[in-house]
Amino acid sequence: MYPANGSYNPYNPYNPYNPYGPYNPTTAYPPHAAYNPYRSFEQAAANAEPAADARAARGFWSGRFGVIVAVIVAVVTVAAIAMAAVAAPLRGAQVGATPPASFTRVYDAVLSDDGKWADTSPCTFTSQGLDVTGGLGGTACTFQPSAAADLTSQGFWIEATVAPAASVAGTSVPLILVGNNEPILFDSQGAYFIYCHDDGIACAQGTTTAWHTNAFVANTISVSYDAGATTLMVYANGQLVTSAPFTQGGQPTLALGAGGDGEAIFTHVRIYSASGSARA
Amino acid sequence: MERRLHYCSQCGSPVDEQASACSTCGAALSLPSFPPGRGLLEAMPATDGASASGTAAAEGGAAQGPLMPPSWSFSTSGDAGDAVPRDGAVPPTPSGTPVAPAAPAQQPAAPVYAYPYPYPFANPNPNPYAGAAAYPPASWQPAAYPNASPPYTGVTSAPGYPTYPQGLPAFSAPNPPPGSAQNGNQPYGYGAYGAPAFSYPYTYPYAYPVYPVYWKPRRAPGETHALVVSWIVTVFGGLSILCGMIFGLVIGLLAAVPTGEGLATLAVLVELTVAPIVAGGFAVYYGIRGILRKPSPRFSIPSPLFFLALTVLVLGAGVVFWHLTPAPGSPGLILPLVFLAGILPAFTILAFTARRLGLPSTRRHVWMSLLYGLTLAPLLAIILEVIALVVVSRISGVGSASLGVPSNSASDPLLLIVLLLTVSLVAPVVEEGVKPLGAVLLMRRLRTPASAFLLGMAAGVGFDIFETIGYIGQGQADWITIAIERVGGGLLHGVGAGMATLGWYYLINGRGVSRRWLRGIGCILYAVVQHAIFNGVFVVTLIPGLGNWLSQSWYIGRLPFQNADFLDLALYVLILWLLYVVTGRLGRGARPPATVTPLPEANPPAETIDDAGSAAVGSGAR
Repeated sequence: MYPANGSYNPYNPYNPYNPYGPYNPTTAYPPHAAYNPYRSFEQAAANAEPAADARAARGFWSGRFGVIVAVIVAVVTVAAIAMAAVAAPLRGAQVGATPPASFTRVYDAVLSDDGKWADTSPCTFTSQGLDVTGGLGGTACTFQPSAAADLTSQGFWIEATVAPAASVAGTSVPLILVGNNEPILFDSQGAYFIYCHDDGIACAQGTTTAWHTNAFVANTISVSYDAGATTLMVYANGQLVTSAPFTQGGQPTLALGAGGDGEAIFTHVRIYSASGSARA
Repeated sequence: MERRLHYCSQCGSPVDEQASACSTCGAALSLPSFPPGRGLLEAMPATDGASASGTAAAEGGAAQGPLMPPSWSFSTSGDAGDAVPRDGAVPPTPSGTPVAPAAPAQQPAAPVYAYPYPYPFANPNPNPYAGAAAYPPASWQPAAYPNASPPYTGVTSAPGYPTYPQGLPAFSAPNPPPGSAQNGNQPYGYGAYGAPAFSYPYTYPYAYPVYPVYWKPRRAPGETHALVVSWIVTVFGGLSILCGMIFGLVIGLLAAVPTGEGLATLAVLVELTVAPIVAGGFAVYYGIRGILRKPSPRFSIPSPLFFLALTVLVLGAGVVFWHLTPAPGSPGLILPLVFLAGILPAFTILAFTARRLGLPSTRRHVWMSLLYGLTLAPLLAIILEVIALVVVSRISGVGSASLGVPSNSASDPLLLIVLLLTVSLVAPVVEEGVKPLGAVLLMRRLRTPASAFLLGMAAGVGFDIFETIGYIGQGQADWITIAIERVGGGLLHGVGAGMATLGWYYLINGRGVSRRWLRGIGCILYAVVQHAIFNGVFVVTLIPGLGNWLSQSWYIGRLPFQNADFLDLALYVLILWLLYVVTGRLGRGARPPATVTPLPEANPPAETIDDAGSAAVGSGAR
């Protein structure tokens, strides 16, 4: 309908009425767009990028959508923190971080040249502890009492604290050798390998989230064996990593070492055995 | 105080009247921003003013009478200022009841038939009554035209104009609905304005003949491109979902093989499964809406302080848990916290950027750009980097396995050079080349440098989230240290991608911008150099003396960090400063001048609140 103020004469054939108003190129089209007479304002507006709007960016939540997003994110965050808080205690119930009460303490000391450990190359003692340099396939320094007496057949529990990776010049690859010849290795990224046989094929391997990869943080490796069972239980920093078959062999021993081209420094060791007579 | 606004014809940003170049995009303003003699304010006719007035009246705004006087003009200090599209924005379409535009104050003096507007519907039948009396004789009857079509009866408020056989066939198709000029049919729709019914005392013989030709409406410029992009997004979204499901299947198979429970493996596998499915779902949704040409609301995001607070909360919780337990527990339970440690810092940076720029883009564009950076960009980058690594290894003779051990390079200069080449040239070029591609696909749809920067930033943030979560997982029990060290990863990737996208904007959309090529190539080069420096910092740690100091540790409680982290921190601060400057400049250029009186809240610009409470930008059409 025509405007109601009477300023327009609908009977004038020389002034046709255009209800859409004149074309205004400055407001209708984005830059570089050629004039298209068939394009409506609505179509142009609906599909265009919005201009910056300081008022839209005002406010803490930026509208109801922002509030919804914020609530969801906040709830997810709280839930994630709660889950992480219970993660360790839940896992702690499975941990055999401490030796069984029936086992007898055999050795518990900061490592030094006390004659209990083999000290021939590549095993050397430093101010930090027992420093072992790995070789082809790994090397190990035997706990001498384990070679002289049976510490393993009735069950044993050994925990070795490994110095931070920054302490060694090369790559830190600590190793614990148990039984006849069953090495358990960890690398600096938390990958582990357990070789049950002499065929060079790992019978258990993987990675564990329990390993500290930070070069300035020490790690502990625990290995537990109970005569009533047939498997070794391996822990890292008190958290169960895996289990593997255990073979006593003819001359079972306990030893600390380093795998491959790596190196490891052991600072503290605790050994418990079910063989009470084997007190070292 | 009346100040006239001028807008840059290049990017639409408001500029000062005397400015010679746009402060936002740098386009020269030597040519007038509007047709000669018609600045924006002059170009806004009284008809628009009537519309604005009518709208304001309909919304209870300032009552200025049913129609503005012909001399009324827009002023930045006026209450009806919203009728002026700010920032070069899409013009607001009046909400509420449309009001008929006002007629010119004076009738044409000469009885010459001429359209005052560049109107495409040229009258094919010249007025045979030119020079005749203005009004037909009252005795004239339409019965003289026996073949006339029936009058338009679709609208009761006004009679239609009958058509007459003036050498043209009768138009028998139904009349289009009012206001359907965009359909390309009858440009004159009547009766939509709600005014009292107008009745002619007699039939008017000078009606325009209804044009009897149908034509298919042409798509507006860029609409075909948008449609193609929407289809691409939809198809790739479907493929992405498929890929995610395949990864999920692989994970299921791997679960049968005892491989431990390393956080790194779990994080990457979950990332590879969840990200494609989520991103694909969003892509299909937004793609279909794009095909249907549904407008997308303005992108909005809570304050960066909110994300910053959550970031501190998450990282603080991680530090506390690290001190309380020697091992973190089941990786499945700590994985959400690990993901948040990678996501929240990145979103803090995205929110900071988006807010400073004034949220200059749509939700669809920003989210799709971010999800592209989260999924497709890393995939492309990995493929290209592996190819490049193989090529470099072949050329240099250095095994690719050796490149993964930086400590080996200290004693081998060739290895050091190859390593430096790989991490400081190949990786930055590939990644900064890949990240902006999603935004480049949309480049012709972008209106301002600010929106280009925001989309690039979103892609970079997505890329950073993917990369950072992978890195954090490698920390295993010490994931929190990696998370803290990577807290500025969003700055590195986000600003880099934002600058690279800005460079592409100047190269593609920057016609008329002064030193366009220099700006474009400079921005892209900056992104590559910034990334190269960040990646190459490790070389400093190989320098004797300084390297030893950088290798020393410092502690938060018992949680250790290296002095080398200070280098990263310094780079983060520098990048943050640059982000502050760039967003300040882009955002300042995209906002109205400070002297302009703020528009009243009661009459907001063309934004409507939809059911979800979000603002739809533009016409308000949903």
